[in-house]
Parts: sequence; C-alpha cells; structure tokens
Amino acid sequence: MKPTNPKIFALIILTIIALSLTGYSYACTNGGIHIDCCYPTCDLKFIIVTTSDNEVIKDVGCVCAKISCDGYTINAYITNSYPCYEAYINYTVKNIGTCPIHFDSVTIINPNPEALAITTTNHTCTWLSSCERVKGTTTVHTLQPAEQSGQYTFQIKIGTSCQTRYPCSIGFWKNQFFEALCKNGRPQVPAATLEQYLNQINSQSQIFKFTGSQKDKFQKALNILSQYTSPSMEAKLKAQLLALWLNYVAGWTEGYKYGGKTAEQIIQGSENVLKNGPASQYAYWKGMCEGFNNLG
Amino acid sequence: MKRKQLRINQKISALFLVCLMSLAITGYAYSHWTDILTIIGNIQTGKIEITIDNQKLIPDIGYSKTPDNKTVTISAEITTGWQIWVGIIIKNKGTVPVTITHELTTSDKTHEIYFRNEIHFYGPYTTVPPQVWDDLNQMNLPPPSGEQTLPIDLPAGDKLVVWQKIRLEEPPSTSFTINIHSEYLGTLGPWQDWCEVIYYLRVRG
Repeated sequence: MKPTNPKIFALIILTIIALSLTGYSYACTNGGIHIDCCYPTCDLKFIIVTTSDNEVIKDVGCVCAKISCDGYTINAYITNSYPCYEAYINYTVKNIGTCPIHFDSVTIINPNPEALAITTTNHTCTWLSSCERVKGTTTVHTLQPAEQSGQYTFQIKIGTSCQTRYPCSIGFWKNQFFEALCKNGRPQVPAATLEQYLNQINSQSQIFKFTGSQKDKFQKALNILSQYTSPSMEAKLKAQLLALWLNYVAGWTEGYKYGGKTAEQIIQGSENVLKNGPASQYAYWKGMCEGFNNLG
Repeated sequence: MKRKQLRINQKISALFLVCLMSLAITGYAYSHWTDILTIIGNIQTGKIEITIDNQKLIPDIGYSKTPDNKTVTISAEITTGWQIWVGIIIKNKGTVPVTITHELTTSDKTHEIYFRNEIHFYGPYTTVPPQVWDDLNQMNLPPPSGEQTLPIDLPAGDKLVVWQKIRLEEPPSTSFTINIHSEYLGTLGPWQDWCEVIYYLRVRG
C-alpha cells in the first residue's frame, strides 16, 4: 500500500489553522469568544397578509395578496380598479432570527404616480427584537387620470439589517479597564475608545462623573465595576448600570430589550431611582441592568 | 504514476481552496447581513362600455345601426301628427358600474318647438321583463308602469330599457329638416362612454 502524500495533510492542517484564525479574529472584533449552544441568526419574514378596500355597498374592484413560499415577498393583485378605488394590504412581519433587526429603509417604486398613489407604513429607524412582530399597511389609491383597461405595477422594498453585536457582561468591561490600566494583554476595546465612552457617559449621565487623566477615569470606572460583588445594593446597581451605559454608548444595546424595556429606559429608571429613591427599588433595577448586560 | 499523483493533489488543493473561499464568503455575508422584504403590486383597471343591445320602433319604420352598436339612426319624412315610440335596451358591457344620464340636442333651435318629446327609463335589469319590452307593440303602446328617474346606476352586465316618444305637434308653416340627437351617457368619475339615437326628420309644411 502506498503512503498518503504528506503534502495533503499539510494542506489540511494549514486550512484548519486558517479557518480557526479567521473565526477567532472575527470573534475578537465582536466582543470576544462566546460559547453558546445557540448561534445567532438573522431572519425576517412576512407571516400574515390580509386585504380590504374602500367599497361599502358595491363590490366592483378586487384585491388579493399572498406571501411567497420563502416569506420575503408579498404579491398583491388588484383587478377591475377604477378612479377613487382604494385597496389596503395589511401585513405582519416577524423577526424569526435571534438577533434584533433594524429597518433601514422603505422605498416605494411607483412608475405611474399620475395614476396610482401608494402609501405605506414607514418602519424606518425602528427595531424588531427576536420573535417580535410588526404590522404595516400599504394603501393603493387609483387616481382620476388612471386609464381604462390599464396595467400598472408598483414595488415596495423594505430594507433591513441585523444587529450582530450584543451587550457584554460586567466582567467583560472590567477586563477592558483592567487591561488598559495594567497594559498587559490586548484589550478588545482600545484605551482611546474606552475613554471616549467614559466621556460620553460623563455628558449624559446624572450619576457618573469621570474627570482627570485617562488613568484616573479608568481607575474610577474599574472601581465602580468591581463593586458588583459588594454587599451594598446601591454599589451593585451602580456597577451594573455603568456596564449598561458602556454597552449603550458602544451601540451594542440597539434593538435589544429586556423585560420589555430598552437599554435607554432601564438606564433612565436606574438613574432616577439612584437619584431620588426609593432604595427598595435598587434590587429591581440592578436586576434589570444585569439582565440586559447578560443578554449576549 | 507520479503524474497521476500530482493531478490528484492538484484536485484536492483546488477543492480545499474552494471550501476556504466559500467559508470566507459565508462569514463575510453573515457579518454584513442585510435583507429586503418586497411587496409587488399588479393593478388592472376596469373599463366602461355601454351599447344599444336591442331596439324596437312602434310603428316599425325602419332604422340603421352601426356595427359597434353605439348608434341607431332613424330617417323619416313626416307631417303634423306624426309620432314614434323608440325603445332601446342599453347594456353595460364594461366591467364597472356606470351612471346613466341623458342629453337631447337638435340641429335646429327654431323648429324644435314643434316637437314633443317624452322619455321613460326602466331598470336596471339582469333579465328584461316582458312587460317593459316584449309585450309592447302597436296594440299595447308604451309607456309601461314602473319607470325610474335619472340618474340611474347601471351595474356591469345589467340592462336599462328606454322608451322615447317623438311627436310633431304643431303644423309647420314651411318645410324643414331637423336632426334630433338623443344621447345616453355612462359615467364613472372621469371615465365616460355613450350611445345615441339620431332622428333625421324631413318635415313637410
């Protein structure tokens, strides 16, 4: 029997190393290695479509719509339309992935604006959390100049993108400041970026103030974050709140919700309770901050 | 043998390269996930069309009709006391309902006062009842009962019966010719269609 060519093995090993490095570097740029039995997915589909029109007594025009097999397209058909006829296409979109999805744009392509007026729900700049649904309506109004026996078409494109970043835990942020201060290891968030985050928090927060040199700021942040094991509930809340602030200014909270609340709402609630009390609510808000930080 | 081994190695290398590239592309695609949901609309508009589906003259003095069933023309040489009942069935052959209205115009304003005109509308019907059409003749003259007032909505596919009487009432002093246009308009918003009965009448004084 002839021995297998060692070059093939070398090639396999090189490939494996290359793939591992690719994966590792991707993970590094996205907040570190995160081991989970579930992998993040991004997917969004139409799940329901219904139609109606503005006819009350007569039934002349007809509108029907169906979702394509892949769930990404609605095909709507309006027949026997006439001036002043209005058709409504009511749809529901569901985020069937595990990551939040951002609606980037809604574009209406109407080649015959003189004959058709198309309006649709503008989802732009809104987020859809995993398993969340959103409803929308498209209205097709046939205008006076529409011709008899005419054929018209339109398209609506809803552009979306996926939030593949996720909030990081208090431990992650503690490590970043620790590594930035001790200059050992390689922080995943550069020191300059960390300082920028603290400056942003400084200007927006009613609780946290970071002044002095970069080192002073980092030390103070590290001290606050290290208090999450403190027996004081106030210190624990502050530690989790600072981690949430860091996630927020890093843009890693966008699209996520915890307990039905956005990061902004939890920050607002936590700061209010820290400023005005009652102290009995510290535990609740600490839990909210912690829950959010651990979403990733 | 060596050449064969080399060829196999090349194939395996190519396979790995393809796999590597595919994985790289997959990773890139995932990290830049974007998607577009699309709503595609197709709109067909309806059309309106009214035609003269049938006609009946009492007495039957003859008529001509255009092939598109839009115009019925009646020509006659008449004297005082002459009268005619003209019945037409207007059919909505379009796909949308229309509102029917009527306009009567003449070519001679001076002599139109010699005529008396009356018009009666019946319907709309999916099937025209005999009492407003089949049963009417020289012995059983129009107008039948159950008339409707304008404007009348005529659904797609339905029919409207119209009976019109034209009578020369007064004796004219001189001979003249007059054209009477009895036009029926079907409208839906800005869309419009028509059909008409034209009378070419030569009056002997």
